[in-house]
Amino acid sequence: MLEQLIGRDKYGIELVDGSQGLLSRRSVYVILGRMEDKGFISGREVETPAGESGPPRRVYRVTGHGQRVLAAHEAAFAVLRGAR
Amino acid sequence: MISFRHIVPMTLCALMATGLCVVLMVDLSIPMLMAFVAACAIVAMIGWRRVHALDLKIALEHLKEAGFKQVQPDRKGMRSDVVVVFGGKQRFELEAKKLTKIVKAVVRARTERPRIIRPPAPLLDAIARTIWSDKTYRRVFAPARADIIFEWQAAIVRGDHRAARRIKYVRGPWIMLWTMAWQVPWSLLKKVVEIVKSA
Repeated sequence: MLEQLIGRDKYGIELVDGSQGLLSRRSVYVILGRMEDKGFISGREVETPAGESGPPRRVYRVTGHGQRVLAAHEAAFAVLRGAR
Repeated sequence: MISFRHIVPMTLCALMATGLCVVLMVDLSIPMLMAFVAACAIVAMIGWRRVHALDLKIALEHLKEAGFKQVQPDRKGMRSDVVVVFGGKQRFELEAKKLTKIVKAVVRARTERPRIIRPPAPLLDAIARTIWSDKTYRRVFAPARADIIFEWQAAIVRGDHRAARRIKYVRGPWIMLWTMAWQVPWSLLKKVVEIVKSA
């Protein structure tokens, strides 16, 4: 999820579509809420564009702390792969 | 509801009933009764033509409002009662019965109220808003529902009404239910149940 958000800000539905089946619509919003609580990502509401209808949607972006967490995770994973 | 169209026949019926009462009270001879029946028949025919003319006039008014243009209202040399032209090109020769059907359809379409289309999962949204805090609702459930509504509207816009129905009645509520299930603190509930059982 953090990897996808590094490129650009995304909506929850876009994260699910770009996860190649790893993420599910049923759980993604809860996970995003928990990651936001921990400070890995930040979310903001985007107003509905003029001419469209519907409630404002929430878009997510990775924070600096989230980027550091991702880098640490990748480093740890590389060590684990190397250890095997 | 009584409309203007009903006033003429109702008035005629009232006059005939009054006339019958007068005849019965004054003179009950057969010639008098036959004269009364003949008068009623003449009045009924005149009234019927008048109602038909009124119907035609009202019908033509409705058609004009719907964009039809009246060409000829009489029936000389034609079998039809009226000829209408729509959009400057299409020409229809109509009998009164077909005209009535068209007018009824036009009036129904103009007076039909638009259906209010509710977004998916309104009840589950209300339940989530009630049970969980504002912060949790804003962080978790509002984005979930906003994306469901976005998906539903996208399906409607591209004309895929089957997918829109599936999102509204199946997928949307399914996602909301599972989101609610994921948000419930199950481990905390388990602990509480254990404590209650041990006590």
